[in-house]
Amino acid sequence: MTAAIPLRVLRGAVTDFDTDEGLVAGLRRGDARAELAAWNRFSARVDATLRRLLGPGHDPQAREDLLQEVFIRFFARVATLRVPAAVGGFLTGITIHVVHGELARRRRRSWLRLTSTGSTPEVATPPPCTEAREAVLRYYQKLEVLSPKDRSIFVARTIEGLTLAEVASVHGLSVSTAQRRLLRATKKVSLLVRRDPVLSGFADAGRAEGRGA
Amino acid sequence: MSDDERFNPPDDGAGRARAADEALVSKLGQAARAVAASEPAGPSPATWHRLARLRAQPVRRGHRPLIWGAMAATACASLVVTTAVVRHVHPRALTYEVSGGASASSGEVEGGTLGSAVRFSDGTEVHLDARARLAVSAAGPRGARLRLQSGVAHFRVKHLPRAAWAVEAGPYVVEVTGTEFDVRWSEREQTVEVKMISGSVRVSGPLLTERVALGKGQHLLARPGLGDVHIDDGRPVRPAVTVPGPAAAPSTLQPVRPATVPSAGTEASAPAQPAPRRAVARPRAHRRLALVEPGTGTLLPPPSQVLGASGADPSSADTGAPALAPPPLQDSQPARAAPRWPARNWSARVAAGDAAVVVADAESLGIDATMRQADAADLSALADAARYAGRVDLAERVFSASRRRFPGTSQAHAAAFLLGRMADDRGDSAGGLRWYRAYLAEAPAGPYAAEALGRQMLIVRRSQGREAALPIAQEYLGRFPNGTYLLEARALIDNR
Repeated sequence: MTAAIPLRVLRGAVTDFDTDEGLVAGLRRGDARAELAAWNRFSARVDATLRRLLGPGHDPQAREDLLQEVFIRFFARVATLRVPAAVGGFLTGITIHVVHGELARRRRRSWLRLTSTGSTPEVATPPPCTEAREAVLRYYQKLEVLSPKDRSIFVARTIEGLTLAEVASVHGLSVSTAQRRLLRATKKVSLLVRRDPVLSGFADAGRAEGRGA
Repeated sequence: MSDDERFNPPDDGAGRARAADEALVSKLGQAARAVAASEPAGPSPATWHRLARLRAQPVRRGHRPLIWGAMAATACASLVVTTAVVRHVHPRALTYEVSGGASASSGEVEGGTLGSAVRFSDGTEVHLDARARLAVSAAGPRGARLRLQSGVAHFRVKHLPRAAWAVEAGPYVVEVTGTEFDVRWSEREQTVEVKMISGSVRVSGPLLTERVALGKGQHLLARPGLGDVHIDDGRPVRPAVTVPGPAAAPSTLQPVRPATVPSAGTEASAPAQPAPRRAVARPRAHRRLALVEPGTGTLLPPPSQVLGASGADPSSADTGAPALAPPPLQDSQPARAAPRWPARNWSARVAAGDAAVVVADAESLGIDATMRQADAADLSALADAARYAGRVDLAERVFSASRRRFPGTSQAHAAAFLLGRMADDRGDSAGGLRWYRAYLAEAPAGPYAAEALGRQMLIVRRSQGREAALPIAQEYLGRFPNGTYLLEARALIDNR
C-alpha cells in the first residue's frame, strides 16, 4: 500500500501575490502566475472543505474533479469579487455550491437508477479503521435523508463551522430562512442519530468524556 | 444578537430539546472535522497540472458532444416549429389539375366539346360544361379566385377551415367557403345565374346593395343590363298557361301576394290590385336539370326569351349558355303592351352611362306615352336614367307607372324600395317608411330587403324612439347578422 505524499508546488518567482489584493489583481489580469499562487494558497483549504462537506470515504478521484471544478469557477468568476480581502469566503462559497450541485446530481442519478435506498453507488466506502471514523461514516449516511440544499446548509454550519450569516449568504437565503431550515435539519438528523445505536453510543461516550474532563 | 445567540434556543422545554439536538450534532461535527483532518491533506501537484491542461482546452471534452447534441436537437426542433409556423401563416398555394378540355399556361381552362374537370389540391372540383371557359386568376393557400368567362360550371368547394374561394361571373362575385353550386354566365345576355345545391354563398355585384346570402336550393338570376335581379327558393313558378301537357301531375296553386302600396299622394297611391295569378309550382330544379325539359329532351328557352318582351331582349340570340333554372314569373300584362312598343334597349344605354340620352329619348317619344306603352325593362331603365340624371320627379312618376302596370314583378318590387329611398333622401320619413314597409311586404327576401329593413329601423328610431325601433333591430340582426346596419342595430339593443 502506497501512501499519497503531499507535494507542494514551489512558489518560484510568484512573490507579488502574497496579499489577497495582489492575488486578486493578478487573477483579474489573467496572470498565470497568480493562478498558480492561488492554487498554492487555497487548494489545501478547499480540499479540506471538500472532505468535510462530502464526508470520509468519498472517492478521491471524484473529489479531485470537484476541486478542479471549484478552481475553474473561481478563476472564471474572480472578476466579480468586489472585496479582494474576502477571497477566502468567496472560494468557500464556490466550494459549497459545487458540492451542493454534486449532491443534487448524485440524488438524481440514484432516482434514475431506482435504488431502494437512494444512496450513491459510486461512492466507495473503505472499511472503518477506528470507532470515530465508523461513527462519522454512519453520520454522513444519515445526512443523505436531507435534501441537497438542507444538507449543504447543515454541513456548512455544523461541520464546516460557517456562521449563520455566511451560510445564508452562500446559499442565497435570508438569515431567518437559513436558521429555520437549519433547525429543521438538526431535529431530523438528531432523531436519526438517536435511533442509531452506534451513533448514539458514540455521542454518549463523547459527552461522558466531556463531563469527565 | 450574535450568530450563536441566534442559533441557541431559549431555556424552556422545547429549547432544552433543541439544545440537546445541537449538542449532539455538534459532537458529531467535531468528530467529522477530526476525521477529515486526520486524512492526508492537500491535493497532489498532478491535480494542478491536470487542471492547467483542462483550462487550456476551450471546451471541456466530456461536455462537448452533449452540448453539440443539445444544440443540434434544439436547432432541429426550432426548424420544425418554424417550418410549421411558416406553413401555418404562409401555407403553399393550391395546385390544380385539368382533365379533359384544354388548358393554357395562363390558367385558362376551356371545356371543349365534352367538358372538363379542374381538381384542386385541397379536394375542390370544378366541372365545366361543353364550351365553358374558366380562368384561375389567383390561387392561394386556402382557395382561389376563379373567373367564369362563359358557360356553365359546377363547383364543389371543399369545406375547410378558413377556406376562401371566389368565383367571378361577369360583374358579380360569388364568395364561397365550402359548398356546391352551379354558375352560369353569358356575356351576350349579360346574365348571371347561381344555383345552390348545398351550403351557402354570398353574391355581390350590381343592383345588390350588399352581399346577398344564398342558401341551399336558392337560385339567383341577375341581368344587370335590364336592372333585374331575382332570387327564388329553387321552386320557380310559371304561369299555368305555359305548362305543357295535361294535368298529369297535381298542380300547386300559389297565389302571388298582391302589391301593398302605401297611400302616398302620388300616382302610386292607388295602385292597381291585380287579380291573384294561378301559378304551377315546378319540381325543384335538378342540378342542371333546367338545361333540358324533363321528358321532352328539348332545351328550355333562355331567360331572355321567357321574358316575353317580343324580342326586346338583345340577348335572345345567345345560345352558348343555357339557363340553369327557369326564369322568374312574369306578369302576363307586359305581353299585351309589348307589340306596341319597339325595342329601345335603354337598359344597355343606362348601363353605359347614357342616362341623359335615355331621358331625352323618352321625352321625344312623350313621357306619358312612354309610361303607357313601354315594356317593364325599358320602363325600369327609364326610371333609373331619370334618377341618374337628377330628375327625381320623373323617376317617381316612372316608378309609379311601373308599379301600376307591372304589379308583382321584380321591377315593381324594386320600384317600391327606390321610391322609399328617394322619399327618405329628401326628408320625407313617413313616405319612406311606407314604401320600405311595402317593399318588405312584397319581397321579404328581395335583394333590397336588408337595406329596406335597416332604413326602416333608422326612420322609426328617429321618429318614434328607441323602444319602437327595438323589434326592428332584433329582426335585422336575426336576418342580416352581417348587414351594413349591424352597428346601429346592436347599439339599439345594447343601449335599451
